[in-house]
Amino acid sequence: MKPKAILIDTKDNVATAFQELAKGETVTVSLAGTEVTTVLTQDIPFGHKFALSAIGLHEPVVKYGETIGLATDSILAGRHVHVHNMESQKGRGDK
Amino acid sequence: MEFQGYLRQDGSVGVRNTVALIPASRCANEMACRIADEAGAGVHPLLHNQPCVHVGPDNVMARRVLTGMGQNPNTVAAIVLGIGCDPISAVDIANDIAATGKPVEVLTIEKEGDYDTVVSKGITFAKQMKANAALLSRQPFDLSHIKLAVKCGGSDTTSALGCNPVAGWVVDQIVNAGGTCVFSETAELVGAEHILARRATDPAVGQKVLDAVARTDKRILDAGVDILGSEPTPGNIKGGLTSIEEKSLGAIAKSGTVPLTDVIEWGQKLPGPGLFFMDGSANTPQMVLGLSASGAQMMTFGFGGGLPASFRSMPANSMGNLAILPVLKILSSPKAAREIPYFDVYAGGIIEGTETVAQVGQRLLEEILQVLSGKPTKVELRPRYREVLEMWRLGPVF
Repeated sequence: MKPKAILIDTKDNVATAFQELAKGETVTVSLAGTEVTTVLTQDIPFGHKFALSAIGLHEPVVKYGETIGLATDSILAGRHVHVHNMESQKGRGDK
Repeated sequence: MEFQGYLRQDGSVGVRNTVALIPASRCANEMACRIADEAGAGVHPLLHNQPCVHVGPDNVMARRVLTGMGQNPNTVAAIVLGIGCDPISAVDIANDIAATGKPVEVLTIEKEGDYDTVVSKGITFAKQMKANAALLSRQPFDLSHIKLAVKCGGSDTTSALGCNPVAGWVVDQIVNAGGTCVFSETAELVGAEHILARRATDPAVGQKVLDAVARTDKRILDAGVDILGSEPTPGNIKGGLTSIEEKSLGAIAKSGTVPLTDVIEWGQKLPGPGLFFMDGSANTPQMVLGLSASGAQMMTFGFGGGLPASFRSMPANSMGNLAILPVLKILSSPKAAREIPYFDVYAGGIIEGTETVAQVGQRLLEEILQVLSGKPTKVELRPRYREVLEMWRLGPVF
């Protein structure tokens, strides 16, 4: 069956859309006994991430079980997570 | 499982018989093209941008790369071309290549007296080398004789789940069978270096990984820039990749799960079996040069579904120009499914839930064995473009 989205590690607080997903859609991802259901509050383009739970300002965004950056805004579950609300902690010669 | 290759005098195994025209400096590129035009198929100019205004360590790296391309097992014979005032002597390069036992000639304007003589002698040598190569025959070799380079590009979030773990599955099979795999692009380890370092059986090797990334980090910090927009690239970002950490964590999936044997320098010859990381550039024309000099026989190139997946034969990713490093392309994203005819292996079934990583991995391994045995890749079937590859440079240019 074609999955709507994928959870890569049970520690992750984001999932990755495997289809074009629309605002209002209910998406369930599961991995190794962990199952998370999220109602999307925004359209999520194919390949992009959405929050599975609330992520507070400056809190880590976790994918692959690893921190991939920090939230630059408070992000509610179901929101699109990308360059507009998270940022890298690496390679920041500008900071 | 086995493939059919050419046994070279130094014990290495070639999978193509390329007569390589190696310019000692960029000034000799034009002569190499002229000779290749006349000598025809099988004779290839390996063009690069080495000037005479690089200093110290950059020239050491360049010499290693020019020698390494000649020593690559796919180079059946080489002609080193120089002006005579090249910063790296054509004669030195030729001698280093000749140490492998393969036929090498060296021609410089200084020694031959003029440009026309270099070109006409070059054509004669190249045609003779090509004729001799036509007499060679392939013989069977097992997986332990494979030297595979793996790369990803045009990445999006499907790369980490499609082409990269598939390449990683193949890396595991080859390394576990006693073969050799290499990957590079230090900037694409940033944020994932701790994971790769943990895979080193020798802690000193793990430290080399951390040090390589720390040097890259320092270059970013010294430049006072945010790497975002370069890593990940604007195309990566469009595909859903948000940070270099996310990109790196996906990129290292192409190195499989086997222990990391060692870290080698840009253009350094692969020292033995195992998995190696080459500390080097993430700029494709530089990366390809370094990997070809390592002695890799071919490279897999995994794509996401962004615009680069639609490049087809466009050489912007240096996929079609280096005859000594055949490139096999893997496509990850079902969104780019119309591009399947231009790829050697499609991994999008993993994203669509119709295939597993191991199933696609098995298909990829079988395809690799066929390509090693002489089957042209999709890129090799397209007309070649002679892109001038680039030397990696860390020092100043004057």
